[in-house]
Amino acid sequence: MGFFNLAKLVSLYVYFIGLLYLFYGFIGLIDGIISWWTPWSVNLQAGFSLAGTLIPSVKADPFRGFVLVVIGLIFVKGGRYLIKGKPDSWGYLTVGLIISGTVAGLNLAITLAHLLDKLYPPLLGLKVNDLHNLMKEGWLTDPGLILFPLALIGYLTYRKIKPL
Amino acid sequence: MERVKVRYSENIEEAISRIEREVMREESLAKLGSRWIAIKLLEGDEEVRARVASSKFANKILKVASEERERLRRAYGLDPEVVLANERYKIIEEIVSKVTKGTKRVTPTDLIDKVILDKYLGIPIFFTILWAIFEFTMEVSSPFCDFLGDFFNWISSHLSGLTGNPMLDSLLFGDYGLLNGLGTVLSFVPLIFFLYFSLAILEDSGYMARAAFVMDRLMRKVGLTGRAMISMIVGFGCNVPAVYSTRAIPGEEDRLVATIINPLIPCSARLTVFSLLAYTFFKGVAGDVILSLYLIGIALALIVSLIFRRVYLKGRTSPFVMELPLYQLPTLKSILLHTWNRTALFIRKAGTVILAGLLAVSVLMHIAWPSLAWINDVNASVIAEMGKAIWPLFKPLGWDWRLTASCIFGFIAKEVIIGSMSLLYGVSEANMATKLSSLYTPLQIYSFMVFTLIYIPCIATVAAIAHERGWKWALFTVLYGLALAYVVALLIYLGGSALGFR
Repeated sequence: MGFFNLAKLVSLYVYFIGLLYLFYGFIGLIDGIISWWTPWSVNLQAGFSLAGTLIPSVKADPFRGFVLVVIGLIFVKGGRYLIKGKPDSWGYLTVGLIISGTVAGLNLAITLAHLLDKLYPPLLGLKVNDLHNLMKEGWLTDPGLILFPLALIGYLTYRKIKPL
Repeated sequence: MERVKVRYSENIEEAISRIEREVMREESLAKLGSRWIAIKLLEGDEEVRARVASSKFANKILKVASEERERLRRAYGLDPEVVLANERYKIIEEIVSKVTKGTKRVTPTDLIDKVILDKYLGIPIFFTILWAIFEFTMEVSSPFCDFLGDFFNWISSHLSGLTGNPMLDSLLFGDYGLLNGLGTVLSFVPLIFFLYFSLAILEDSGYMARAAFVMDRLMRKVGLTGRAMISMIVGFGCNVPAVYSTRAIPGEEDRLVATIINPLIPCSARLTVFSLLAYTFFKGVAGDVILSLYLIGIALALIVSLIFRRVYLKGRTSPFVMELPLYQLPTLKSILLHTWNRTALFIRKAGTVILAGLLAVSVLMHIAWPSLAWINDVNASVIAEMGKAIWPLFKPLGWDWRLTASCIFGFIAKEVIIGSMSLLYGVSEANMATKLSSLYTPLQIYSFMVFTLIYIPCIATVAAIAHERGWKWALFTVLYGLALAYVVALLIYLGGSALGFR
């Protein structure tokens, strides 16, 4: 594939990743607002089931939803600038990747912390806490973690064809 | 080397000349450099204004300076300080372009700043970073806090009966004993460590200055300068250095406003209270609940500032001119060093102020009122009587006398609240969740957390405010904090109840 086509493909890809972040962010935001601050509750989801686990599964959390929306907006704007060939796109892609990487890292760190919480009691001679299914907590199937590798692929491909 | 005289645009030079003519009439001022004084007066430099104010022609000089400042403000639509800074940067760019070859290379800092300082995305990115800090602090520190809580519980149970003296044993290792309270406070060391770790990353990366810059536009609308954001972020750690950091804010009125609103920013000590309660009552969304408290704190700080500026200090907010540092990849060594230095302060505080506060609480819980006999029944103790005496005032907030009593000692240091709770309920950190959730509803506790967020700053913060602004303002901060805390907590409790929340 020629340079021009690959660049265009990467631009569209980044734009699409941004839209996915926006989509899942809005689901979490709306679901969170309804579930938290109104007497009603909804469970909006848009994932596929794998061995009984929904991937990605969105948490009803307005703050987390807001964060995903912000990441989405950064990638969408970056993708738009890429399509137009503006050099500013580098900044948008980098900041988008840093924030999405932070969110993904946070999901992993929280999962690890919850695992530790179940495992330390024997050190003090206490009963081992139930090692429940970490997948059910939803941190490993959160869109913030699932979408990051996809964003990273777009970023690395872009850096390869257009180094700063 | 040839001396280069900086020449501003015609409009500004005209203003400088007019002020300079007045300054030259006073010999002592002219000796300092009449042009320099004129420029400083145009920039509103407080020290130069004070120096001029003591001269013979002060009235005339300051009047002309004020007229020229206003004229420039109207002509450029910006504060004269910003206009002069812009002009100087223009001159610097001209000189650089004459002495360097080629075009200016765009740096990663320039490109990243386009996003971080974006007119629309800047503030959402700032809130995203705040969210990440609290999620990281709350969720990742939790197993370490739980471990320490269980550890102190284990020690307490093993030391019970060690002294052979039932009175001393009960005071030190009993359910209402000192070790129980201190252990509860110390079990939050990891939480403090993780918070300072995150703040150190922000500081060392160069983002902190950007946060101030990004928030400047919003804060200016409520009469605060963006620089106040730096003291507010410092306040996330501790309000004492945050109050002192307001010294870097130019403008007496801006400094005053930034100082009196700072206690509304929740410090790490209050975070320990929030963490304990949020994990008990809002498991799964504890980080979000705590973030909501931080947002309430920031929003109230902005509202108080707006009211204060409209009612009392009606002057203009000084402009925000700041050189932004380059972004750096923080080193682990430097982050750990910063984090440890601050965490060590918390541990030292636990061994001094908090220990003394908890000792007082523990003794008062073992003394009966009015007989003053040594007892093991907290319900008949001096502290219970104190709590019950002021409880009717807090009954509308949905509290019982125990919650009321635990707040009293928070004035010493906010960590004392959780230590006191541990003593008042006779449980360690490890068993606190079960005990509290059997007594209160999430709405009662949220209203309590909001009260803790706003009411009286700790004694060290009050002393810092008095040192910086005088006792009048320290007292004002204490009183308005109490009143505001009561009103907001009441509104949340009544509003929540009316909406059907429990």
